[in-house]
Amino acid sequence: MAITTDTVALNDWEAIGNIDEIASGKRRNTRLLGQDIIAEMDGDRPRVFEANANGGMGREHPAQVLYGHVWTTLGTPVKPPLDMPEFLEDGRRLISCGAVTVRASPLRIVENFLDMSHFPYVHTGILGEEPITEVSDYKFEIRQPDDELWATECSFFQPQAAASADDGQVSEYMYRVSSPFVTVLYKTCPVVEGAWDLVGIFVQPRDEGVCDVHTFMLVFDDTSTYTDLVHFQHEIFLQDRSILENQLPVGLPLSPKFETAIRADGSSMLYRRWLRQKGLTFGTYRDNEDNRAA
Amino acid sequence: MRVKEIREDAWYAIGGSALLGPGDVQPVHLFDVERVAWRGTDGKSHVWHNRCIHRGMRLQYGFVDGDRLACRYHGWRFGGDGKCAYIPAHPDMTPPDDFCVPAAPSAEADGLIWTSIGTPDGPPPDLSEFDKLTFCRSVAVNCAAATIEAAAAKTSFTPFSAAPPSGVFLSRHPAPGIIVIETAPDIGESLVLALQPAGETKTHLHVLSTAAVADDDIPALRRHFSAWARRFRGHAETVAA
Repeated sequence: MAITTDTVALNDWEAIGNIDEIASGKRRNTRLLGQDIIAEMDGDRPRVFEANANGGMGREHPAQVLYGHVWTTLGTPVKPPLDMPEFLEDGRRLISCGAVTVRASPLRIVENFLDMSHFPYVHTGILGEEPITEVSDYKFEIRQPDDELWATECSFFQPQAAASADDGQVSEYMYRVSSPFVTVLYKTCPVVEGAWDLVGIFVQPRDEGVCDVHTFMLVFDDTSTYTDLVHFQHEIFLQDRSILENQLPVGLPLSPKFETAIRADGSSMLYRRWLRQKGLTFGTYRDNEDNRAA
Repeated sequence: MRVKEIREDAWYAIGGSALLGPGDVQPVHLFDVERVAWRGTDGKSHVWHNRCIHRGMRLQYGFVDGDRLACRYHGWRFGGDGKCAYIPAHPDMTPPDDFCVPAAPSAEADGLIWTSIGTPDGPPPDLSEFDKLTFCRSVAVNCAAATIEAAAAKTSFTPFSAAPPSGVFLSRHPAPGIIVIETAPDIGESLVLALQPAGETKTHLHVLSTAAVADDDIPALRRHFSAWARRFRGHAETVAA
């Protein structure tokens, strides 16, 4: 497909690569919203260009480095990338887990990230386990003026909540979706009393059904090695991928009638409503087009 | 009725009954449609739409929990009638009646599981002309059903229990998707091929023998016609190429 005509998607900032992958002198040839792009560092300054048909550099787009990643936008941004003050807190480690390609809609990937009720079935023995499967009621809302979706007062029993966890615990969660393809969760830190660990995904939609997902953690953990933390996150995310690549239809249906929802899906239904109100179409299921259900 | 006359309302075999044991879940491709076949520990088989009503997950990756199918994503349990019986996220909730996975028509007859993407007005093809019918093997062939039909018109087989034929091999089509390969004069042993069209370039072929065999000889019969099925697949794919 060619570059999308969806201005809602085009006007967002998206992460398009880890800073280590786009070090000075290296280029990352990648794709965003149906457009081939080239990212490179010019000294400390990130630059992002459209790739011509012959692979050369075309039009340049705005770029910035934030949270260990290069961000760009192919449109006219209406708001900056998310504000994550925890990035500057002492004692936290930023673990960038690299990009994982997932053949799924970016919206299904974000929706799965918000979902707790799959823990016992997809992340069995780690983030959940039968018979403790109940999802307690939680709160969800759109917060202004930032226009972000928040789900709070979430909790779930977890056999191994983090790489650093020895025993099961009831984990408290908050979820935050700052733009359609960018989401972060705040989770009880098993090490520092009263602190939250952050885990997030910057979804880079290559096309409507293919994404590079940049996963990161911003955690208090002095004992786990970098490798342990990346392995933990990869294990979880690859379990999710086995689900995400098998949802039909590929696009996320925004109509509440198309799929069945329950109370535990409150944040997911709000996410769909929020996307519908924005007029976002990229990665959605559209009944009149050729991405129908099987 | 010819094989290549694709009939939405016809029954098609999708595999041997014995290969879908209690607790098994398998994907099914028929024409351009995905289905899931599963068998509960109560022995009943089901063919459903391959899509959970909740978040669209392919049910083929689910697991059987007694006489219910569980979705891999959120563990929703669906009873044999397709109705959601249990939602783990809300253990005390009684799922509404319309939380239901659509079922496709399904039947088991002559050692085969049958389904349709339409609405058949009757039972699966009547194969009662054969005194004995033993399911031997399924193979996936990379060609259209019409190509298999063409290859079947030119094929032959070595009988398992009858004397080698003195005459010629013939093929006929008693029902959509069914090919009988027999001899004239009749040696009393035929092959029945049940075709499952799965797109322009793939057909699943289910091979049954009418040989009169004792139960003890069935493993040997299966080996005999397994070998035939592999050779036939090679011929059909060569014709297609």
